[in-house]
Amino acid sequence: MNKVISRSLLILVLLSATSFAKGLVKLDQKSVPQNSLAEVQSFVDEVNELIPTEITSRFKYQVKLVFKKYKDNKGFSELPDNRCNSNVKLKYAHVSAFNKKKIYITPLFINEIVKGESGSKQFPCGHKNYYKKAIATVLHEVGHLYDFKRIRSKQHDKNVKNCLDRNGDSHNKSFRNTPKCRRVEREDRNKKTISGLQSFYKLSNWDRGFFTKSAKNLSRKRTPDAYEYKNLEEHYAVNLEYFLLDPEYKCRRPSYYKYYNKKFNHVPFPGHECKIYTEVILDDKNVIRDINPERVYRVDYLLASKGAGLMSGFGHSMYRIVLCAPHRKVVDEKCLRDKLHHVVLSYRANVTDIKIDSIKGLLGGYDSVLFMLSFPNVIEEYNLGELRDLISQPIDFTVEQKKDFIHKVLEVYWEYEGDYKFITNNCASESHDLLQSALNEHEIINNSVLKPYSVYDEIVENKLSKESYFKDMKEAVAKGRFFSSDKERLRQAKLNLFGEEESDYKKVRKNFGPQKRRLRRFKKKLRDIKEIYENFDVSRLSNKFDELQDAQRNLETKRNMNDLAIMTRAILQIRQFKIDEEVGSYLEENIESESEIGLRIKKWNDMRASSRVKPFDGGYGIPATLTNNDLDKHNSHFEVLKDIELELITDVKSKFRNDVDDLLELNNLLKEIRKQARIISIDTYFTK
Amino acid sequence: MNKLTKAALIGLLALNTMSADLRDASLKGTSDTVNFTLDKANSSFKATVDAAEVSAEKLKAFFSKNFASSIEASGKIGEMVVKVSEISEPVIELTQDGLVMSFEASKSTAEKLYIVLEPSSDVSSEVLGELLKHASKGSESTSDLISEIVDILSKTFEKPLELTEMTVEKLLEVITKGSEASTEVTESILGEENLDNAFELTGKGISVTSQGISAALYFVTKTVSGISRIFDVYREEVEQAVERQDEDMLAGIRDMIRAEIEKEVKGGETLNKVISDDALNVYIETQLAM
Repeated sequence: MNKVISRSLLILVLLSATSFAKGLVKLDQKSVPQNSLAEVQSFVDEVNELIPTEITSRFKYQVKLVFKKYKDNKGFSELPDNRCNSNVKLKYAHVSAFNKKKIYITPLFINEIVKGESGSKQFPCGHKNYYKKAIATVLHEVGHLYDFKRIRSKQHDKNVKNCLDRNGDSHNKSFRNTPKCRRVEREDRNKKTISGLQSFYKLSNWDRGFFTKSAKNLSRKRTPDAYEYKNLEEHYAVNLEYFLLDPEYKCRRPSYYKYYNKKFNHVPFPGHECKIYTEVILDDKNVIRDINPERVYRVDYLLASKGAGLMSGFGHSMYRIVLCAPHRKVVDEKCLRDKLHHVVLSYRANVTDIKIDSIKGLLGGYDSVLFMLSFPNVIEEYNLGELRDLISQPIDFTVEQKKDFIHKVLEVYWEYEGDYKFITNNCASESHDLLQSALNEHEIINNSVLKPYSVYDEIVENKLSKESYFKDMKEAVAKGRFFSSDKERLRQAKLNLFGEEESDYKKVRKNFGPQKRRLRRFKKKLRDIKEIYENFDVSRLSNKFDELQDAQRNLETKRNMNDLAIMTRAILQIRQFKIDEEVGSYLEENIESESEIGLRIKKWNDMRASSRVKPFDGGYGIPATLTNNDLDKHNSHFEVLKDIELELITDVKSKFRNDVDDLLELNNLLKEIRKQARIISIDTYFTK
Repeated sequence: MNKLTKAALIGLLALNTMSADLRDASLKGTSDTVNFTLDKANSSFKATVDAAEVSAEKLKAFFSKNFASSIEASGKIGEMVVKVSEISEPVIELTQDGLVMSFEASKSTAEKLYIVLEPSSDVSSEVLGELLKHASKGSESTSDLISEIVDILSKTFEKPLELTEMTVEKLLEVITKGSEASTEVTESILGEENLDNAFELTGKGISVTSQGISAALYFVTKTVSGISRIFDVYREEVEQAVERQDEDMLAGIRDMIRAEIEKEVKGGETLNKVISDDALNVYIETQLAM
């Protein structure tokens, strides 16, 4: 009896194998005109060749491809000439979850299929011609059918088993309430093979709403097809098209390529090599950095400590790419010295108003953009400008994880513009999402965080870093993991040059009990260093400079001159910030005016909001390269912007003449002090 | 390091379109030797003006830009090294005798000329004087010159240069050519006669070590375009690193400079061994002060 059953099974398997020898998709010949049948059949054969075995093997039946007229396409007798025109709405194909054996597709494709790839209409976006678009459409629908199958891995089954609450009802699964088990539960309940996985959701960097998930990325500038943002299922299917059809996909969206490659165990273009374009232009310095993962020694989570303002009160999340200087032959810890080359990744609201609008910052209205900044500038901004510490927490990536992270960063850099919301989509959540997106199969994908310090904790708890890195703070400073605020440096400089003064203190009332209220007593309290600097008389800096110039040229004078430079720089920055505020208000008041100044402000504001380099390659994702033309356009944009800025400065100067003159004077003083400090340094070196 | 090193460095920097402010300020309070040299330079300057009968203003401008400090003896050898370097890039090697800059005298015969910058000895002014005098005029009898130079060198170096007749001849030839090439522009302003006069000025007591390194650094500044780019693009960052005494960042900047030297200068690796981190720090500061 058993032998009979085995034989029957074997015959069934063989029969099934025979039927699949012709491929998963079978043409419904009745739906195709006889005179086009041969070409369309050949087209179907081509499609079948492209479907990964992982997909084909999951079907026990062939899927019929039916050409069907859609009511939505009524006005069209042929496909439009330019598919890139997003105003043309056409229905190309569909599948149904209730009938998983058929793919319906518009017969408008037939003419294009008959003409072949070179003869079909060409267009400068997406798949570039309708023949390829037809192939992509069928693959897209096959992708959906595979997604409907809700295939789960053995690991998932194991996870479910581990997560089930032992006291739960055996019919109604009850999961334990841990981040991981909540994720497993969601995946278990979801009905989709790929688009229902937490890993895909994280890879795509989507947002979970009350009922649906939506794309966080609001930019459509570098998408292959805006339809991918309709929902997560379409996002998966559109990307499957490009994975299977575009040899460049591997380099344009490397994180997705890796994901599909792994999930389908499929290499669509064996032997095809392309190079991921790893150059970026720093947003604050307009210099190019090549963040090739092979040149990155380490990636750190960079946390700016809490600041005094409302917006900075939770700290600020960033990443620091410890990029080796181009001259380094070996990528090792010496690269930690190459701070000039380190790149900081900082999600910030791309403020397009002259002055930040707090409501927009809180509720949305500004783009959330991943800015690429120069590390020394960030040190200056936080340590000196805001008197905040910087904690540079090394992330213990493996070589592969480091590569994945950088690749994701590049995708985000070129493609992403979110909606910045101070509470729900802020620097911390964005930074955490970026890490999750890069390490989408790692345990770190289980949780969500909203605060910068929580990202730090998450990284440690998920064993991507160690708390011990900060056990010994002296070592942390020495090894470049901690950059303390300039508070102490500024205090010491002041103390060294001017000593302790009465004005460094303020009077505060002593806290007495109710019975002693009549006794109004005060105590002295040291002012905050920022306050001392804010109120510092600038003429005292010049006097001190004169005094030091006459002093003997020795190490002490050198140190004093250096301290004077530090003080002057800090005061200059405080004054600059104060004037910036006033100038901001002036510009804001005039931006709507039709006057020459008003038009200039408007033009300047529009230009500065879109000053990132744009590749004009008609492509998507990471560009293959930046051409000279792209760079020329970018540079001329900057030149124009600079010219307008110069004109604006003239406008501002005439309005704030005294303030600007004071600033210039201070700036000149700083230059002089620095020059003298250097000369004394040279002098002392050679006379020692 | 010898006090005069500073003078050498300042002199070399002066050649490199350095601001007069820095130079003047730096010279304030330096050794008597330098003051002496300056006095000498001033009187010669006046003489030059008289002889030249050219626009005093023009001459003064030229002088302050190109010669004022180089007239100090300390700048001379550096200047000459650079002049030679302009037509024949040296390979720098560290030998037991010191830092050797070797110049290819002739491509066809693969002959080389050597300038040794010996770390411990001082070279008397005569060496420089003679070298410079003959180099700038290029018209003396070669045999006399050779014996003269070898004689002086044997007195000053414990392990003198291994100079053959041929190499000295070639050395002079190259130096003369270099001098001619690099002074083409200045001649048109100053006139040949005045140029010669200016070249004849020399100073006293030069330390070869400091001079060599200064010369080498000056050579580096002129030859290695990447270094000036560092200071063009990252001036404020470097300034901050110096001010904040960010040792890590300064080490990174030094590494960048050394890498440029290694890339652009033949034998740059050896040159890097000779230039200490401290010397490079000072070099960074001088770049910032310009």
